[in-house]
Amino acid sequence: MRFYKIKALFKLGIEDLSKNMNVFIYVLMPLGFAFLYSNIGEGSKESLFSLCVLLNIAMVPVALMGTIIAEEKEKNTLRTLMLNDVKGFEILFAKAFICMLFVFVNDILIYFVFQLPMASFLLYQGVTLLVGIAVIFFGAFVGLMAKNQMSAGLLSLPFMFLLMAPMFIMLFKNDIASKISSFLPTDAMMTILAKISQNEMTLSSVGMPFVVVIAWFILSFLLFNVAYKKMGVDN
Amino acid sequence: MKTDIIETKNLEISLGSKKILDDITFCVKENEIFGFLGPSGAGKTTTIKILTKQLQQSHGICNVNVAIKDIGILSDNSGVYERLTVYRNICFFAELSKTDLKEVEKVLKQVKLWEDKDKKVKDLSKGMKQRLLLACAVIHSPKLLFLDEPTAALDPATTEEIHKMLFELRKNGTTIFLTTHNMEEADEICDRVAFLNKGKIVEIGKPSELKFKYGKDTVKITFEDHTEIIVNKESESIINCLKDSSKKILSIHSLEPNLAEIFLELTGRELK
Repeated sequence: MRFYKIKALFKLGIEDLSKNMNVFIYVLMPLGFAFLYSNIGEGSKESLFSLCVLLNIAMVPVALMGTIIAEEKEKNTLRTLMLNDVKGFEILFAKAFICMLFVFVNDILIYFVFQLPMASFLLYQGVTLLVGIAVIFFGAFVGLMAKNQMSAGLLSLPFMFLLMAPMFIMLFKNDIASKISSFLPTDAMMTILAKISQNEMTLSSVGMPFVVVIAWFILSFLLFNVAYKKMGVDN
Repeated sequence: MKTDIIETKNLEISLGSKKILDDITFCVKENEIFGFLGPSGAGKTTTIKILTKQLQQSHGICNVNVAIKDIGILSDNSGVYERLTVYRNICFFAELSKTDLKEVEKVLKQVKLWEDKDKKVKDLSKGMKQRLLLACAVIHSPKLLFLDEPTAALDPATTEEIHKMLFELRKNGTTIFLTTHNMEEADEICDRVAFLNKGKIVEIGKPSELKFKYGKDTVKITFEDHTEIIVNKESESIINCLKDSSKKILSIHSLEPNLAEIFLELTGRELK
């Protein structure tokens, strides 16, 4: 891993993304919802904050990561990079770093939009960042599998729905669905965030959700690894 | 003695039962411009893909004796970042290879893009984009440069500039492997050429040697009134012809075929 290459890729990736509104919308959407919910949403600030963070985690690491990798394939820049002595892992690392930066910045902005108490700020950010890292490999997987941006958008949909499922399941108030949902990383995240806001964060109350998050990290990494071994970054 | 930068021996690649490349053996010497010539579909790009490890050969040996960081490539599937400017793109490739950013201005001037450095790539013409791709491929002063039809979309003036640039690169120690179906270009810039037809090398050598080898045993004598006669190359025939004529001679040329004619003679196909 050569950090000067990752730095160059990171700098260029940020510049390129900021000029690509079609993709940047994935970054802006959770923020837009945060502004909307903070003004007209019903319920506690903390639960509305959790919903917006959930949207952020479901959209940015998966859809954004998948789409920017797929665009590099579609425009032949990925192949050009690899022929310029850039390793597949260096490209993926730079892209993941860009996505995680946006996840992080969005989380901070959403936090300030809801004007939550600063005492829990670091805990909130730590948890959401951890879940973001846990699902970023799904985005990398989508990017590896997709041939172009359109197919990346399509491929990321099932993952996005899966990650957003706790939001819909909350509406049904069905016990079985809630039980299944508790095994999703985003549900685990919402549980941990709720415990933080209620000041009830103990090992017994958040131990299981943390195990779920780690299990999803391993699962997404394995899925990505299988795809990477089979296809490489660009087959 | 110059070392071999590229060596291939009995290289083969198949797609199903069809052989795309068959028994390809050649070497490229250090500091030469080697032309790989053939019509579309002959296997030129496939050869570049094998040499650059984008494809794995089915059989044979393929050695490229240069580190990957010292290779530059311009191919039909090279890409740049279209939303960014010419300058930003080339700076990026310079950063990737830890090249001094002072080189950027020099290279952009060489490919005649310095005036357009602030233009976004998506606003460039096809020829300008091709020049940018070439600039990106050479920004790190590669030891080995692969060029796949580098002047295909360019006007004659720009093509001339690119040729000058290739000579300059060779002067500075770069070995160039070039594919083209433009015979005039190959004749003008290549030190050696290989003719590729239906996946096989049918001839290899210096353009001048090939012309001599496939040349006819005749010379054309042009007189001052622009009348021409073709006689046998033997000195006796020429002397006899000149004795019989009272007109002044304008020129005497051996009748050499050009590379396209040699290819046609060897394969029965035109280079298109």
